[in-house]
This record gives sequence, C-alpha cells and structure tokens, in this order.
Amino acid sequence: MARLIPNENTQVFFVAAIADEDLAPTATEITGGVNLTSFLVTMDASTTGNTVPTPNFASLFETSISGTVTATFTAEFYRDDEEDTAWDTLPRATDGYFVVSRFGLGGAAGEPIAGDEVEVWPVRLTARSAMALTNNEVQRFGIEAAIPEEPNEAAIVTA
Amino acid sequence: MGMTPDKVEITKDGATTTVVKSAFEKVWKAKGWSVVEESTEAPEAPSGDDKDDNTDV
Repeated sequence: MARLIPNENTQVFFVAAIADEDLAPTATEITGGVNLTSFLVTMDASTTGNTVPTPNFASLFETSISGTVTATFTAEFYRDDEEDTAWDTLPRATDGYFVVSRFGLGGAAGEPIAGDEVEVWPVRLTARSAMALTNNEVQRFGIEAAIPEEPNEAAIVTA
Repeated sequence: MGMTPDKVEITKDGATTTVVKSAFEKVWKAKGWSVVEESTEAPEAPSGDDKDDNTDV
C-alpha cells in the first residue's frame, strides 16, 4: 500500500468507442485512443448523490432515503503550437470515453493489459474553452462534459 | 445560439462512433479510423429469374 500523487502514475486516454455494454474496454480499444496524459493539468471526474428527505410527525429526527446520482467531468489541458493533440481531440460536441488509470497500467512499457482496473467516463463535450491569457503563464484550455450514461468506475480491461 | 460542429460517423475494426469532423481529420484519421460512407450505389437490378415483364393481360 502506498499513497500516490498522479504524476508518473495516472494515465488518461480519450477513446472513441468501447463495444462492451458494461464499459469494460479492451486493451486495443484503449491503445487505439489518444493518450492525453502529457497534456493534462487537472481533472475532476466525480459523482454527486442526492438524498430525498422523508421526515414524519412521529420523530424529531429528519430521515432521508437515497435519490438520484449525477456525474460531472471537467479537465484542463495544455495547448501546444505544434502538436496540439488535446485541443484537436476534444472539440465541442465530441462523443467518446475518458479512460482513467489512477495508479498506472500493467504493461511493461506502461501500456494497458488485461486485468488492469480503470475508470471509464462516457462523455459528450459541452464546452472547450481557452483559458484567459495571463502574463507569464502557459496557455491552457478547459473542457466541460455531459455524462450521457452511467460511468464504470471499476472497469477491468479485457484482452 | 452557437452552431453545432459538423460530425461524421467513423469506423475501425468493426467499431463505429461519431466524432466532430475536424477531430477526425486531425486525430482519428491518422489512427486508422475511416469515415463510414453513405451507400450511393443504385439499387440492384432484379435478376432474370424474378423479372416480371408485365405481359399478362
């Protein structure tokens, strides 16, 4: 067990298609996507659960039950004047899947192999915005995405 | 209201998906994806065996 920072551990791919209905990607599907790791500055892929209040007159304690769940995906990437891969890959209205390996992949060269655990976030890009230009800061852009289907936060890569 | 970018359906190894046209040109084309072409062929002519020459009276 170890506590890790994302640098040199986390890898993030943008994948065009995943065939499996439970969003378990194949190693080939991941490597056929675009590795955006070297462009990534920050990423927030998170879910928010809602609760439904169910108080009643018999108790002073206000009970609740679980309700719906929503998810958001936002990230920030570097621009590049020669290989602007992240910007070119993520125009507004793009559909696809972010595949996130938080703790690294099992291949000898860091590539995905069967058995790796990854998060799969289906997305439709709703915004791609260049960050405000600021003196002495690297140019970046941010994305926001809708989540059109339930993400799989513990997908196992298949062969 | 902003305009929606043009999208194209692309395919590779039996998988298909839809991406923005500019992204296909700049990224996915180089990765071996190709555009799913709309079929423009004329409907196949009926074979001679099935031909109905409408000669019945």
